Amino acid sequence: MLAIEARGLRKTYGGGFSRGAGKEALAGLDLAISEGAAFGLIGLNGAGKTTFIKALLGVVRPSAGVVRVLGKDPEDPSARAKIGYLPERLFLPHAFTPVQFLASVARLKGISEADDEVRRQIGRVGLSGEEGRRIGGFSKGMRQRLGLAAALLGGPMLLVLDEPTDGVDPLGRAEIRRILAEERARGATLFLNSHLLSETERVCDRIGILSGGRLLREGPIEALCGSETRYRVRFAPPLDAAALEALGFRPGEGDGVFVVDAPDPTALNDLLDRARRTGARLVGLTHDVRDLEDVLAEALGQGGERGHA
Amino acid sequence: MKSFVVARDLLREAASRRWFLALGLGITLGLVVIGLSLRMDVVDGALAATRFFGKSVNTQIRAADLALRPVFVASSYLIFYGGLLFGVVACADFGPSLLAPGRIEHLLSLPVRRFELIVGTFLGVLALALLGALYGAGGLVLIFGVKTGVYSGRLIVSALLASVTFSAIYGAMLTVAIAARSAALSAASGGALVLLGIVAGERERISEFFDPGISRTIFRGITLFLPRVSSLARSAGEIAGAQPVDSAALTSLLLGLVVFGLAALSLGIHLFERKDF
Amino acid sequence: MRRVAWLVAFAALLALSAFLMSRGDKPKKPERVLKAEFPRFPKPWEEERNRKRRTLPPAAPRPGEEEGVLRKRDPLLVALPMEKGKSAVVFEVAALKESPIGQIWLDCMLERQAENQRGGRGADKFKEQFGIDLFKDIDRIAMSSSKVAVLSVAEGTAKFDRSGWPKRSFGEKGSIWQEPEGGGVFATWGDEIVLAGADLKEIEAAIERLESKSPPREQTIPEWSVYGDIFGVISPEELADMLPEGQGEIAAMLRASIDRVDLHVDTSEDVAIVADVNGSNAEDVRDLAKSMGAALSLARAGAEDEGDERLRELLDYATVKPRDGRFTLDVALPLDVLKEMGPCRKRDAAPPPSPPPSR
Repeated sequence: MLAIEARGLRKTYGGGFSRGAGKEALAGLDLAISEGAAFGLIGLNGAGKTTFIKALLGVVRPSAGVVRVLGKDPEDPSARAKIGYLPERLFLPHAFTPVQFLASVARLKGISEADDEVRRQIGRVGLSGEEGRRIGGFSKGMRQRLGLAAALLGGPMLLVLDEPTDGVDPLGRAEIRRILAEERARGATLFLNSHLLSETERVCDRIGILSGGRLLREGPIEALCGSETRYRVRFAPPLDAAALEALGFRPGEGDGVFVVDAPDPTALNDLLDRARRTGARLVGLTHDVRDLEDVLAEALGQGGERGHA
Repeated sequence: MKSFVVARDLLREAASRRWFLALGLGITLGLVVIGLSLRMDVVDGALAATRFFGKSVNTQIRAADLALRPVFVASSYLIFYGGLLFGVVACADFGPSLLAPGRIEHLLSLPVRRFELIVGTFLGVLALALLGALYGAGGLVLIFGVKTGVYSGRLIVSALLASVTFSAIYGAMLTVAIAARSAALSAASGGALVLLGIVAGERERISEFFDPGISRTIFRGITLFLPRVSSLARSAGEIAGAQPVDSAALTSLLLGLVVFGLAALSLGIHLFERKDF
Repeated sequence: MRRVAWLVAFAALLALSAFLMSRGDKPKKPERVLKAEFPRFPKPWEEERNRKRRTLPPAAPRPGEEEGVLRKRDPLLVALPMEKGKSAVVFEVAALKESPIGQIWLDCMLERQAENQRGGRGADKFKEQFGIDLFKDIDRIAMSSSKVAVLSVAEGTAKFDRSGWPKRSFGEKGSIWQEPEGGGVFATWGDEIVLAGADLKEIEAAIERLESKSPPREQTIPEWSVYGDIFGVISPEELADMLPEGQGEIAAMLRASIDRVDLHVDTSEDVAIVADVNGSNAEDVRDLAKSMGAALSLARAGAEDEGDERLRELLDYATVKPRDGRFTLDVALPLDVLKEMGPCRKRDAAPPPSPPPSR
């Protein structure tokens, strides 16, 4: 079953008779995420990421299209009962203690006998010993952990996390990654929105790139960050760089490193044979894998070109 | 019902707010001052002498319950109008606070229906108003009861009437808060409704000042839909002072007031259901 | 659809609330609100009236007293006994007749008169015999505990010669008629004052006071106390005697600590009574005030326990106000109550005559 499904999802803010056409935050988004996946949504500010998340939770109502969460309409409370959500800027009541806040969330989630669950999640996010303190005195990182604990209450089947590691120290991030891994192992679906692409890369196995309310790219992380037709080769000196460049090898970073595109293994071997004939001796060959930042920049560049075309 | 959870959270939040701490402290201080500095000499049920801070304030000797009637009437008006004004100012922020970014998304992501949030906030404020009124009026009744032996629940009934009146006005304030997400506008609407309600309570008499015709019809048309604040305040005073009250008219006014609150709440829910956050 | 439902609910509820609230816009007025004006000082028109009534020349100045400070005197007040410990009450008949309670009683009395006429009694018979119309000619009546009634009547209306009783002159302007076979004594002094009583000596004493050039300075009812529709002085002894048997303690306190009680009654709306209680010992007066207040409170509680709403309501309006060395007792009597307390009570309260059962 699909954990998240969006078809032709559109959302236009404002507009109307006096305000013109309004701002289109989602422009026909299609997305399907299977249960148990860890999906990361990336994109620039204003790309429509938060609007999409709010549409998943029923906080924002789509102007057109369909969105379904865990097979149900997000406005159905029984669907939301299985969702754990951590907003980007969670407002926490200052006068409450963590236990009081989580107990309140548990009651609203309909969790009975929630005391043990509340204490368990507090311990899980590393806030043990802080149960009696007022939230008003918490650091940003502690609040973020508490927000995560609220999202984890009741063992949700879908975790929607908006910048979960924002303000958390490096060790805390590792801890959160561990918790998310545990949740995945339990069978929960992760939907992550983070500006920290390295975090997304480490947690998620699928990525979606959003721009202008459209999904530019979507797929497994290996498929997006790696290239099946681009290779990184390293030759031992001495070598004839001019001859290699004439064959299509472009200098890469490091001594004797070159990058070459080959549509298939035969073409690759043919190129390598011709390089060896110039006197070059091959000492290393790998696929040319890029980081998410490059992928995003590339996708946005193409998207921009497409947009300008 | 999830609304009760929301209402309970609102009460807990209110308990930490300076406004309400000040109110609780003020009422307590007032009751303590009255309790300690008021001396009442009661002979066979008659209040023979009253001293406040050692100074004689009562010149009549009459049955204690009769002597206390003017005190209860004055307290009733104080609780009614004082409570309304305090409530309008102090509770104006609950609506916008519920809708604060980072909070409303989180609440809406939980398995709660939208209307339950609004009803819960309303119930929370209603409970707050009832608690404040019961504490103040109950404290006064207790103090006078201990000092004179007269335990009259009339002031408490009168205070409850004030609470219900405020709750109906708060229904409209909450609706404005949903529409505008502004505590200032919410308070302004509450204040305006109190003032207009005072006028509406006297609509029969005031309408006679308008020439018969369109101006009188407009005045009567507008005030027809407003809660009769001054009428209710007067009734509360009459109840506190053990004066005769037209119970049929009061019941009608009170029912109308409750329905007004529900109407305002319905409009608020309608706006809330349509709103994106 | 669900979202529109809330809007529809709003419109319907608003209309319903407007309907319900408009039904409460005109509350029924309470059956009757007490309108009692407690008389505490003379009104300007009363002072003016009192000034006109002072037709007697001032008493002769005492040694060392300047003549200029002396004022003329009201003959009706002068005719009243002046001994300490006597009670005297003046009824402003003309004002009482105009008051709501006066109107009610007058109507009733006129009806009764018609019944009495058939029996050869009543006011018409009195007018025929003595020339005074009891309903028209009397301006004031003063009653005293020396059993003398002083009437201020319309000039020249008294015609006691018609009675056929033996007449004799007394003093300069006095004439006395004595009933041959009874104890009744009537006297006139001038054209406007009529004295009635059973004791000839008391009547003669009253005429002597009216004609005396140096009467005692202190009148029973002082000039400053002449206000209200009924006013006067009640002696502590007589007041104590009026109390119910159960109030023996208060009666004893009254006798021991009170000098006099000034009474003033206003009947312009509901009847409001102010009794100003004076005593020489402030402490005793204060104690009495407390005892009176407590007695009223207990009586009210008793009435409440017994379900006597009328008495409880009456006592609701009774207050004791202590002042320096004295206290006032305010009592209000609503007209509704008085209707059933007056001379017409029995007849009004009686059930309508029912037809005899036919067998």
